[in-house]
Formats: sequence, C-alpha cells, structure tokens
Amino acid sequence: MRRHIVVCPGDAPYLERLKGFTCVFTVGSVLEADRVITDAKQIGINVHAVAIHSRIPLGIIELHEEWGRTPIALFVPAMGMFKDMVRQLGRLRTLNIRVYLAVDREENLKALRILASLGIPCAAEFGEGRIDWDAMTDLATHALLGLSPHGTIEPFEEMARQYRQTGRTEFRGVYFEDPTRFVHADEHGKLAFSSKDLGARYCFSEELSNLDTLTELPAYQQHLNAWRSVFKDFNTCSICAGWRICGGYVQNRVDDNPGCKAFAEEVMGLVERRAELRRNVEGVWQV
Amino acid sequence: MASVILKVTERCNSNCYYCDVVNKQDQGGSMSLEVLEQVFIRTNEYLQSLPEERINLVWHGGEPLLLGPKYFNQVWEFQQEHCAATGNRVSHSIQTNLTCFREDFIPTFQKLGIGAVGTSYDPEPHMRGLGRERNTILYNAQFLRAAEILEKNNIGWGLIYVVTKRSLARPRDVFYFLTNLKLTGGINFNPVLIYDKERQDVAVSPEEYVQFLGEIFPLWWHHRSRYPDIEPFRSLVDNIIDGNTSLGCVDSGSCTFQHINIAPDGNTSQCGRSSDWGLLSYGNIRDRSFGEILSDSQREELAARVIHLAETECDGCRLWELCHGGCPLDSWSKHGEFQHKTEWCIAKRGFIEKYFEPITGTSYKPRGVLLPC
Repeated sequence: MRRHIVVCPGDAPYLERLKGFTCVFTVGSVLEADRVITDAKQIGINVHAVAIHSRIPLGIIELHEEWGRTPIALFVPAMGMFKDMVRQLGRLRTLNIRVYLAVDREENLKALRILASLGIPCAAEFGEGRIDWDAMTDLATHALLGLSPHGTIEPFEEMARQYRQTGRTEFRGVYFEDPTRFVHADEHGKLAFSSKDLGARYCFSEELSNLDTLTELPAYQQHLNAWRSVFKDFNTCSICAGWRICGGYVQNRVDDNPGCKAFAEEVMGLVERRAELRRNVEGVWQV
Repeated sequence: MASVILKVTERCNSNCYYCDVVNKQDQGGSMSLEVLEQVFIRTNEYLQSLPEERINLVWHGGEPLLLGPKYFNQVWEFQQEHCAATGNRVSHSIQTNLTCFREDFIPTFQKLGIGAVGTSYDPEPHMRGLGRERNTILYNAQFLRAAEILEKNNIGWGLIYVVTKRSLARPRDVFYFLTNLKLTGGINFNPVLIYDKERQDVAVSPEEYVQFLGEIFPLWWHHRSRYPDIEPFRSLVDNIIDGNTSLGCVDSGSCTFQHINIAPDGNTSQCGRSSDWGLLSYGNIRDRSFGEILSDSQREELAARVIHLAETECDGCRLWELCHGGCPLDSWSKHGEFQHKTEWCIAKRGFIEKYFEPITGTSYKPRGVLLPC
C-alpha cells in the first residue's frame, strides 16, 4: 500500500519517527529550509518538497545553491522589484523552485505572468481576500493557451493534466492537499487533510501513529467522500457549471468570491480547448 | 426480449409528491414467496418453449429494496432451483429510490448480475422525501450514501429526473446539479404525469416540458462529450442524426407483445400504469403461462392502435417513426380509450422543430418504415 506524503513543520519534534516516510516540510525561512534538508537526510526521510512560507519578496529572498534539485515550494508575498528579481533569475532557473503568489493581490496576477514568461514555474495561491476573477481568467488563458513559451502556471497546468470530461478533477496536489496523497500533521502530530483544517483544529486523528493505517480510518473514508455532501443542497457549488474542474475548492478557500463560478466554467472550457488543439495538430497548409 | 415488470411491493418508504403509488387507496402489499416462486416457474417454462428468447426481470415497486437482502437472495435461489437450464437467458434490472440500499445487498446483486440500478433524484426540497413529513434531508443523505456504496462496488446507476412545475424556474440549475452529481451521465428528463386535480400545482403541460428541454438542450449540445447519455437528447441524436433506431417503450410502438406487469398478488397487466388503473388485465400467473399472457387477445387492440393511428391522426406526420403515436396509456388518460395519439405528441414535435433541428442544424428525414418491427 502506498503511504501518504506527510506535510509537517520542519521543526516538528517527532521527525525521527518519520524515518522512511516521504515528507513535505513547511518552514518559515530559507535558513530553516537548509536545516531541515540536512536533518531529513540524516534521519532517512525522503523529501518530496520543502514549502517555504516567507514574508520576504522574491526579489530579495536568499536562494541557496545547496538546495540543488530538492523541490522548493516558495510562498512569497510578492515578486518585489523587477530589477531585484532579475538578479535571482540564474538560481530560480537552476534550482528546482516553484514560486507561489497569492492572487488576492492584484499585482501578483501580473507577477505570475512575468515570472512565467521568464520560464519560472509558478502557482497562483487563492489567498484569503477578494479575487479579480476576470484577471484570473486572463491568467488561465495565458497559462493554457498562450502561444509564447512560458513556465507552467499552476493550478491550471495540473487541472489540464488531470481533467477528464466525465470525472472530478483532482488538482489539489499543487497545494499538497490531495487527500489521496497528502496528510497534514501539526507540531503535536495531529492529522488533518489541509493546513486550513489544522488551523481550524479539524483533525481526523490525534495520533501520528495512525499514519500507517490512515486509509482504514472511518474519518479518512468520510473525507474522501465528503464531496458528495454538496448535493444535499440545491445551491452553491452543486449547480455550478465548473464544478467538475473546481470541485468546490475555490468556494472553500475564498470567503468573498462572487465570480468564481464563471471562472471555473471558463477554465474548464480552456482546458478542453487546449486538449482539442493538441489532438488536432495539423500540418502547415502550404507544404 | 420479454420484459417482466415485477411490482414486488406497493409499499414505499418515500413519499414523493408526484407519485401515484403513495396515494393509492388500495395498496396491494408485497409479493409472497409463493408468487415469487411462481414467477420463476413461469419464466423457465417460457424460456424452455422458446430457446432463442430472453427475459428481463425488472424489480419495481413501491420500493423493492424494502423487502430486504434476504428476499433478493431468495430470488437468486428460486432462479437456481427453477431455471437451472435457462437462467443464463434471464437478466435483472431494478428501479429503486436507493434510500434503503446497504452493503449487504451487494452480494445478491452481484449473483443476479445487476451491474447498474435505475433510480431518481430531485434537488428541489420536499418533492421527494421519507415518511409522512417528506423528509428531504434524510432522503438525500441516504441516497448519497447509497451512491457511494454502489460506486465503491462498481455498480452503475442512472437517474430519472421528473420535470415538474417547480423545475421550470431553474432548468439550468437542475441540469448542472444532476450532471455534476452523475458525471458519467445516464440521466433521463421525463415530464411529471399527474392525473388528479389535487396536485396540479406541480403538473406541467407539454409546452412547458418543451420549454424546460429547450433551456437545457443548448448546454448539452455544445458540450455533449462532457455530458454523455442524457435523455431524451441522446436518443434523438441516435435516431435523427446517426440514423439508428433506438426508441424507448413509450415511442417504439412495439411494447404490445413484449411486456408483462406482475402485481404483488400475481395478477398481470400490460404495465405499471395499466395495472394501477385496472386496465388490460391478463390474469394471474398461478393460472396462466407467460406465453398465454403475452398472446392475450386484449393486446390485439394495442397492436391495432399503431395501424389505426398511422392511417388516421398520425397520417402524414413526418415524425411518425420517432414516436408511433406514443404511449397508449397516455391516450387512455386523456380520452378514456387507446385509439388516439399521445397528448405528449405536442412535446415531441415542439422540441424537435423548435429546438433540436435548428440548434443541431439537421432536419429529420423519415426512413419510410410505417410499422415498428
């Protein structure tokens, strides 16, 4: 049976107990990232990624060559000054970094486009504030159908990879929240399916020792099937044309979200259009 | 293939607003094991007399699953006992509201080869619901739990959605709700059939039904690979664009010699509605074989109806081959006799001419086959 990837604090007191597991370590600074990568190697933990949640803009954050090919999910508040960011380009390209920017800040929507155009893999984080859904749709259009070469912009790329017309789309792996792959542990070893759930003390297990029997827990099964509960109600996401691609993720993340329905439906159309274009690659008519 | 509709019980745990069974004064209880055994004796007898023939047993109600897993295990045992040589030509279907479906039905369903179940759902509160108070919340919770069990066990399910007056306010919401709930399709939009004056608040006219379909058809047509198997759209594409002939019992004009409805007491009729209305009684399976029931002389009137309509009311109708005058029971409910076309003719024609043909850019061309096979 495949084990879940454990998303836990990089300074969790129980790291030794995770020997043999694959983990995503959440840290608050690049120095902590350095330390946890070293610790994990010593303990025998496979590093799926290090998620750095920094308050420092991308332009001036330190990027360490020592990270090598270790996947780094770099959550920063902003891109910062362009001239600063340009100085980081070498390392952003050689290291294995994906830059996450919260799109409830308007300038970050532009920043994602700039970063992607420079070949930097990046991701839109939904944040907690109001989102300009039209601008998000433009970003999705650029990500999925933009003709100029650019780095991937998540979650759109993952949506396109996972989308099946007659199924639900699981793209939450971008945020380490796909419950079939990731489990979140707090500093005490309590388990939940997302950092948001952990924050709300909505834990399905109090015991880190349940990691190996996770899939047998009734709470786990309930969570996997929780998506159905939306159909108890003839409102909200159940009547959304874009539900099969969004699955209610946006609604659950963003409180004030008028427009997310149109966004989700639009993204679904874009994903289908891209698949169609890739299926129908025709030769140039002149030759 | 003969279809035998087994109304194994007239009891139901649900109290759907538009259902006739719930409001029926004289509910016939449930089918005894003695009658059930007779079903399999008759099935075997029929199949032995016709070596190429097959039978589909449709478990219906009321709510058939109220009888519990043991009852359906008994079904399997009777089939083993009485259809040892013919059982491979017996198939099973079931129509259930799913609210009392549990894991312990699964082994028997698998033994009977039930790979999919037919069910219904209505997102509108208080249309379907459990008990006297019509508890929609409990109904929905139990239904969704059952859907989860079915999918976990790789048993498919399809939905009938009954279009009522309340649906007319939100056709697109209904469409998205159901196609989200059942992403792989298998959804049938049928008009509600109300025969009393008390519930006219939910009744829809053929024109209103057309209006409902017309609202959702463009959504389906433009994204039909996203929403497969939505009826009546899929069938119309099959018949009008793809040139196939695949019509349901209402439109095929060929139910006459293929259907038997068996009530809990073993009395037979043409179908559920004719049984409810005391029409076309073909006798009891204790006294008559399936062969005798299927060749009952009363069926001649139904057979004659198709010919009669083709020469009278439906003469010259370019859509004749798509409906054959519709269901004789619809004629009865309107005119008190079978020899008229269905009042839903307006709906079929209206939808095809107002929406289907203009939106798809096609025009139906009859094949010139006057009578159904």
